[in-house]
Amino acid sequence: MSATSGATISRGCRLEIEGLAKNYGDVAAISDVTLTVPPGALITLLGPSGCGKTTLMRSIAGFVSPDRGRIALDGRDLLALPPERRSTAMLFQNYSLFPHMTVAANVGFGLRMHGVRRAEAEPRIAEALRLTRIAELADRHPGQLSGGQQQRVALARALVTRPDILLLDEPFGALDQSLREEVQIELRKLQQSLGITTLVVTHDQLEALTLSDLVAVMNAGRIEQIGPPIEIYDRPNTAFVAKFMGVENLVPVRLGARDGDRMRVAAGSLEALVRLHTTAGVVDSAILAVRADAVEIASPGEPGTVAARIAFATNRGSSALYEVTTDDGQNLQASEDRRGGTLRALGSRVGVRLRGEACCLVTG
Amino acid sequence: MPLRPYLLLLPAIAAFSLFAAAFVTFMVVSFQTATPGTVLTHGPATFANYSAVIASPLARSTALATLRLAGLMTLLTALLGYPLAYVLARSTSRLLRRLVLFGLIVTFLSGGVTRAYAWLIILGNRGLLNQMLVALGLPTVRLAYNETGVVIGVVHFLLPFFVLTLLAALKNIPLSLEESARNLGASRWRVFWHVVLPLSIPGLVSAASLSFAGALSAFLFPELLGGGRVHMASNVIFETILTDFNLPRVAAMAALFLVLALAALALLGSLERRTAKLWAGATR
Repeated sequence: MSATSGATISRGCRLEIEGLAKNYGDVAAISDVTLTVPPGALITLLGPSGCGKTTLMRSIAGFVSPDRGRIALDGRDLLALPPERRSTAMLFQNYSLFPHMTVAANVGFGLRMHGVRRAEAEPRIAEALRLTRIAELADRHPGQLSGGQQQRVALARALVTRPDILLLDEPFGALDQSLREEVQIELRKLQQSLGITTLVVTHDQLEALTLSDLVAVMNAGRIEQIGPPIEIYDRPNTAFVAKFMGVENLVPVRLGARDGDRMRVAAGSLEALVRLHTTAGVVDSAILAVRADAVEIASPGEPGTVAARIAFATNRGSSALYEVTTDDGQNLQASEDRRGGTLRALGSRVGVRLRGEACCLVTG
Repeated sequence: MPLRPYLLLLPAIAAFSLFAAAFVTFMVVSFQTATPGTVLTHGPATFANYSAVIASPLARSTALATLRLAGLMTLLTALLGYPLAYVLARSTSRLLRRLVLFGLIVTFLSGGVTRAYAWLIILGNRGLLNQMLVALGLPTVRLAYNETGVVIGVVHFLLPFFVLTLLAALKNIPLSLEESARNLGASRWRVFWHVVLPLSIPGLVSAASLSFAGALSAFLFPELLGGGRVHMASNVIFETILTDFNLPRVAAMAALFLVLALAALALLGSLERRTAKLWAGATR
């Protein structure tokens, strides 16, 4: 991405949401959501459809009126303002470009609505088109553009008004897989260079991990866990978050002796020494979140392993994914680097052990 | 060339030919001469009927009055109908949408004669409205047996056609475009002016053309609510048949009114293309 001149750089704003709730009839779309996004950060709302992430974003933009709670940007209350007086810029899922206007007119629309004079507007439009690398499309109509180009126009149109916060609703959902990753990285660079506080709604965990400073995993109208992407990936708090972040095995375990910040846990004959990340919470029901790559496959009878056999095998590129069944009936998914070799044979005897430092205790 | 598709078209062609035959007959008659004392006509072909109609002050004043009234009726229908169509397309209140739709459908399904007499009961010189004005000690107004009454009756008749045609067009405008415009700082009114209205122009022109065609051919309401004072094309054609008994002359008059109506509608169509271009330019 090209260097930015001072003109479009936005000061980042702090977003604060407190106790936000919205019901539709008897159904709670969001209940008691509280979160703070520091200036210039990118936060992703991650969750399955119907988890309330879109309702939360639309509340910030002003298209949903919450029943309770507070939304503030740099301490200024937003909820009292109609959508057009909030300094938010939303990128709609289908881009929502005005079909009867040229690209330049689309990008200039927000400036016109804010009463910016033409002499000032034109360089700002040109700057936004240059930042999103679509200067050559200025005179086209949206109907003549590809999906990727339309998205750039929508982004230019959103950025040109210098919003306090950028809201992106499933921004990459309509793009080809190959284009998606490239655009994600480009968007992240642009967002960082502009320093604009950004909120992204997505159901794609990989997208959330790629883009974010903060990830908020939502479930049934609540924030289940919020934190930096690496923390969410490595140390999920609940079984829901673990599953949503792609953890293959959720194993109910018995809690054993505690040793400082570690605890011995067991599921049947399988045992592991795992690190406790939180002191509270994981007492009553305990589930061990085990990624497939934390299940180690060894030779049968090797000390410290549990006897098992290969129940299913499939190829995942450079690694192989197995389903192993221990002799006391525990099913686990395990992945292993193929090292250029072939897959292990179905039914062959192996020994398995859990790499405790890569496992994580979660609540149910 | 396979014959089968054309065989399947036969019933449609037969039905269409029957309608077309009526038009052809009346076009042919318009170039003939009436045999005095009979309903018969005879040749040879002549333009005499056309030149007589064009020279007649009655035909000219009728043409002007018809165009003026139909234009006024269409304008009023659009002004009343656009908000109704917008409410139907966008209101989140189901009750409100149902009330509006119910009102329109009742109008749509009730007979014209019934409605004309209902309007007489309301608008008549001693009608409900004037009785109310008298009761309030206010002067009465003449709303029936004049142009006002006819305009009210015809606008009411046209409203469902206009609203339902425009509704389809408005529903095709994605709501997210309106939200997007508001998000970019446009008030509700400016969203309407810069986004909804320009995008609805094709639908608006279709709805207005339909209404204009309906207004041009109005017969019942001018006849019943006009009190013999409102001369629109259909009524004048009807009266001329009864008084002159000159079929070729009347056929020529009808043909000329038809040409005029088609020309007016074509003008409306070309207006659509021009407005769309103008708007695209204005919103640059």
